[in-house]
Amino acid sequence: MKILKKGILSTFQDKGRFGYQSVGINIGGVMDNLSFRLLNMILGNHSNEAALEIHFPGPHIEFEEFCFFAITGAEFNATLNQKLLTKNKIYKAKPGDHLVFKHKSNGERLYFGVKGGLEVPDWLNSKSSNSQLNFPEFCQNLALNNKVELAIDRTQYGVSFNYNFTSKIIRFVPSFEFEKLDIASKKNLLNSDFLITKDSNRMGYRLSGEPMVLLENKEMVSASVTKGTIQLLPDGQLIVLMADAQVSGGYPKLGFVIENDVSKLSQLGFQSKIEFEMVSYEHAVKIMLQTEKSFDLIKKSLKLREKEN
Amino acid sequence: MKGLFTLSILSEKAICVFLNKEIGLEAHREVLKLKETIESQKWPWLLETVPAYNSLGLFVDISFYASNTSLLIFFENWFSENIIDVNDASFQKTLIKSIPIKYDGVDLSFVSNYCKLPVNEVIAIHSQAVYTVAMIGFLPGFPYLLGMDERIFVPRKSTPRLKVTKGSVGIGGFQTGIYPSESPGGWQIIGTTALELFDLENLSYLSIGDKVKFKPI
Repeated sequence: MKILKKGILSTFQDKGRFGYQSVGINIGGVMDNLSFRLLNMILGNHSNEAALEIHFPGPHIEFEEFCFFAITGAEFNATLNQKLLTKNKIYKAKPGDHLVFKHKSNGERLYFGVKGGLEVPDWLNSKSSNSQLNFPEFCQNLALNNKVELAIDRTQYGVSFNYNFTSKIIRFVPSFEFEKLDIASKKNLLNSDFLITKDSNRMGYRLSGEPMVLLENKEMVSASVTKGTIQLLPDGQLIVLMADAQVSGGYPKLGFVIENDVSKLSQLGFQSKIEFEMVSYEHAVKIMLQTEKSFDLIKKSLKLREKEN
Repeated sequence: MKGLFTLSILSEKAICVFLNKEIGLEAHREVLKLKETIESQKWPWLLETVPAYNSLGLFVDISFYASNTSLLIFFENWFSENIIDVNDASFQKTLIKSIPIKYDGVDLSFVSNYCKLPVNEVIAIHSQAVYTVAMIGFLPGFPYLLGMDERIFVPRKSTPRLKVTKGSVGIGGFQTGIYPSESPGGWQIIGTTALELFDLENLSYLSIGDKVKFKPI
């Protein structure tokens, strides 16, 4: 396929790059892991096949070969040769077909994938873009006139269903430092709204709300941080680390946003308001395992439909 | 082993083990020993370990939960049943890697004023010490070096610079470090090295635990 317009911040992503944090290479990977997993499931791909993570305005793609593709996540009114597409569904494209994204109606990040996968270079077992690297020979950002080769596999036909996960309630698990917040700050965290500010990106979402203070302000020593970590900045505001989180950080950690809700948060943009809801670690694990179960069910139903076709 | 460590959940699939000890060479050596011991368990669900000054991050995949219910319970039990000989003297690197440095940093005079030491003294103090790579982070290949003389401890800039050039050597509080690539940064820049600290193939030139000395040129 050919890229006629690259859009903004279009990058190739998979689950991320594991095993190299101790040399400072962050995990990275998709922001909305749920939509990403769903995409590969619908396409019948390997669960870690790279996808194109698209923001609005999105790219303009011209297909140069027959293939099956799908889109999940945000809704940008995608059209194939002017025909409106719906998400979570397989479509067939032929040479000369144009895929464009007309306007944004819901969510922030859309995932585009092709049955068989996109052939993009691999580095340390991952095709994810790494925003911290300054190496022109490894650039996973979509470029103009890029040709992306497709590893086409044409065995499966269309399946479709809806799977919706947008909500403003963001669940988190508190850590030690949460207990060190003063009473007013705890109340604020649990009861007031937080605004996602414009200083939010793939590394982290900076929130704006009532400033919070710790009862004792001891100096922190840098330690592991990861996707979902909620840090308290010196000005009393919060930052939630996202997919491109650095490997370590020294700000106090109030807790972490549960995995499912990091995906939700990825679909909320600047000026969106969120509310935090506290859950226990045990409950967070339960939610994660339930999500695994629903993915298993989706997988089974897809296989069933495949047989019926 | 209980009492020596504090466990802190980082996410559903990550936990951080903190040593209940002041940061320093001893704590760091214990972190590395703990890393070695944990990696030697060959747990199939353990994805990676991430050492820092006095802590070790442990990242697992979802298969951990196929046979366990809680990272906290698992590691509480494991630490209470296993004795880790953190004082293993064999666990020490002796080779010292030399880093050529030109002491021409833009903040050198600020550092000199702040420490009330002449510039040549700052240079002498910084280049005489043998440092240990405590952790690598912030940027791919960025070493956090432990072992700086407290006479040249200088706080970070209150507002970080938008652009610190590649190879810059800086001081940030009690630590010194090197920017492997251009980046925003808040450390006080005292010099520059031409040494490549990171490339796509060999990754980081320095590893955690390496001994390092700066060689003025």
